[in-house]
Amino acid sequence: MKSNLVGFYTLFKREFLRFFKVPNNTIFPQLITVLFYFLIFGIAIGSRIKEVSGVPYLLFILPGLFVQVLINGSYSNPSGSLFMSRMWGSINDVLLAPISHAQLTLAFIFAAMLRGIFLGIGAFLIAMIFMSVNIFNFWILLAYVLLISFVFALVGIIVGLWSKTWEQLNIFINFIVTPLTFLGGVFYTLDMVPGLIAKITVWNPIFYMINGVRYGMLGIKDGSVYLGLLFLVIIGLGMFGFVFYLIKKGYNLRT
Amino acid sequence: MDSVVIKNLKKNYGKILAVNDVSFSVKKGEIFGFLGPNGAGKTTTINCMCQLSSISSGTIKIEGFDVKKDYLDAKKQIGLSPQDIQFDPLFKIIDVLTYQAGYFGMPVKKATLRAEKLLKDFGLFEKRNQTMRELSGGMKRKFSIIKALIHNPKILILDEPTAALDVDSRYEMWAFIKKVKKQGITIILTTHYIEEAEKLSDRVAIINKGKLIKLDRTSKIIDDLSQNVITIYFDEHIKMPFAIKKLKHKYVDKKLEITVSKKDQSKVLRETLKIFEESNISVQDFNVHQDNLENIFRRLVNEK
Repeated sequence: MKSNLVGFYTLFKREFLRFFKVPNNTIFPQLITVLFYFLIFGIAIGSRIKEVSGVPYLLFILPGLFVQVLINGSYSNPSGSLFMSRMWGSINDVLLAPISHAQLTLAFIFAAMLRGIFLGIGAFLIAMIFMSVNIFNFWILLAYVLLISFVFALVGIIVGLWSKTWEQLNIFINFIVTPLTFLGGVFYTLDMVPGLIAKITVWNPIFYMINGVRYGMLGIKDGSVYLGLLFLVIIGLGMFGFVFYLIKKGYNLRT
Repeated sequence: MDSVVIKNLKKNYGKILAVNDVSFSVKKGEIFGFLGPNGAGKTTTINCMCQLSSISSGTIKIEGFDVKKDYLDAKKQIGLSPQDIQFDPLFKIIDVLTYQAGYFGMPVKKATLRAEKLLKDFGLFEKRNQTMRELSGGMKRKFSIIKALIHNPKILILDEPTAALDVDSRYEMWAFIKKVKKQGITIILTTHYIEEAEKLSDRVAIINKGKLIKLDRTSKIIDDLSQNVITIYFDEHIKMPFAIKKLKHKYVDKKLEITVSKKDQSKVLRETLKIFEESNISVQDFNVHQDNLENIFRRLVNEK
C-alpha cells in the first residue's frame, strides 16, 4: 500500500487543532500565568534586582518562562489527547485507520511540538509588552526549541499511553516537570543560590534547556550550550525509539 | 473469493482463553450473522479482525490481506460500527466524518461531499454542525454507522447496530442494512436480537465460550435444528396408542405435545391424526408451533 500521507496530515491537523476547541483550558491559562510572572516577578520583585548576568531581571527570566510554556504545551497535547481518547474510546477511530505506526507516532509528535511552539511564541509576544529582545543566536535558539518540544512531546505520549486515571496524568507535570523547571534556573543563576541548590541544579536536565534557550535569546549562559544540545539529541532519539515501540506494540491501545 | 477468512484464531487475555481455535469464512456480499451470549468471544473476534486486539495465534485475511503482514491494506477494507458508541465530544459531527475519511486517505473536498451525502441518506444532515453530545441515542447509533461507511469499505461490521433503538428505528435500520447489502458490501452483524439475525442474515455463526458451535445458512439451521411442537387437544382423557409412545411427546391434562423436526412435521402430523382416527379417539383440535432461531440458539448455547 502507498504511504497514506493524507491520513498522516489529517491526524496531525486534528491533533493540533483540537486544543483550539477548549482555549480556556489550553491557551489562556498558560499565557495569563506568564503575564502574571512578568508582572509580579519581573516588575514588582525584579525592580529591586538591577541586573543579572548583565541583563535586566525581566529579560533574564524570559527564556525560563518561555521554556516552561514550551514544555507544558508540547507535553499536554499528546498526554491529554491520548488519555482522553482512550477513555472515550475514540482512539479506535485512529487505530482502525490505515496509518502506519511511524506516521501515527510522528503525527502526535509534530502536533505537540507545534502547540508548544505556538504557545511559546504567545508567551514571547506577551513579553514584548514589557521589553524588547534582540535574539542573540537564532539557530541555537531554534535548535533548542525544536529539541525541547520534541522531547516533551515524547514524554507526553508516554504519559498519555500509560495513565489510567486523571491523577496519573497530572502526576508527571505537577510533581516532576514543574519542580524541575523552577529548580532549573528560570529565576536565578548558579551563583545567586546556595551551594546545595546549585549542585542540584546542575543535575537537572531542564537547567540545560533553559541555559541553551537563554544563550540563544540573550547570549548569556551558565553551562555548556553544545553539551546541552547533544544531551537533548541523545535523549530525544532514545525516547523516540521507545515511543515508536510502544505505539507498534499497541501499549494500552490494543487489547 | 471470500471477504474474510479466519483460521484457527486464538486470543488469550492472560490465562483466559477468549477465542479458542475459531475458523470460518465470510462470503463476499453476504450478511453474516455472528451470534453468541455475552462474553462468548464475538467482540474479541471482531476486534482481532479490525486489529483493535492482537492475535495470540492463527490467521485472519481480509479481502486477501493478512491482518498482521498487510495490516494497512487490511484496515482499509473494513468499516466498524462498534458496540459501544465512541466519540470525541469536541468536534462537530461533520468534522468527525471528514477527519475519519481523511485518516483513510480521502482528500478534504471529497470527504466533505461524502460526509454530507451520508448524513442526508441517514437524515442527520440538519445535525451536521452539532457535536455528538447533542444527538439522541438513536442518532448516535446511525452516526456510528455513517462513520464506518465514510471510506467506502468493502466490509461493514455492525456490532449490535440496533441496541437501544426503538421499534421504528430498528425497522429503519434493518431496511438500511438490506440497502447496504444491495451495494455489494459484505456485512458482519452481531446482535442479541436473534429475530434480527434470522430476518437479515444469509448465514449464521454461533459462538459460545470462545468456540464456534454452529455455522450454516440461516434457513438450513432452522430446517435442521427446529423442534416444532404439534399440540393435539382431546375431549376426554385417552389411553395413548403405542405408536404415539414411540415419538418424543408429553401428555398432560387432555393435551398431547409432540416434538418433531421441521422436515418431519407434516408426515408426523398426518400419521398421528390417522392413528387416533383408527383408534377411535376423537381429536378436539390441534395446532403446530413453529420453532425459531432464538430457541435453537438458546438450546445450542445451553447444550454446549
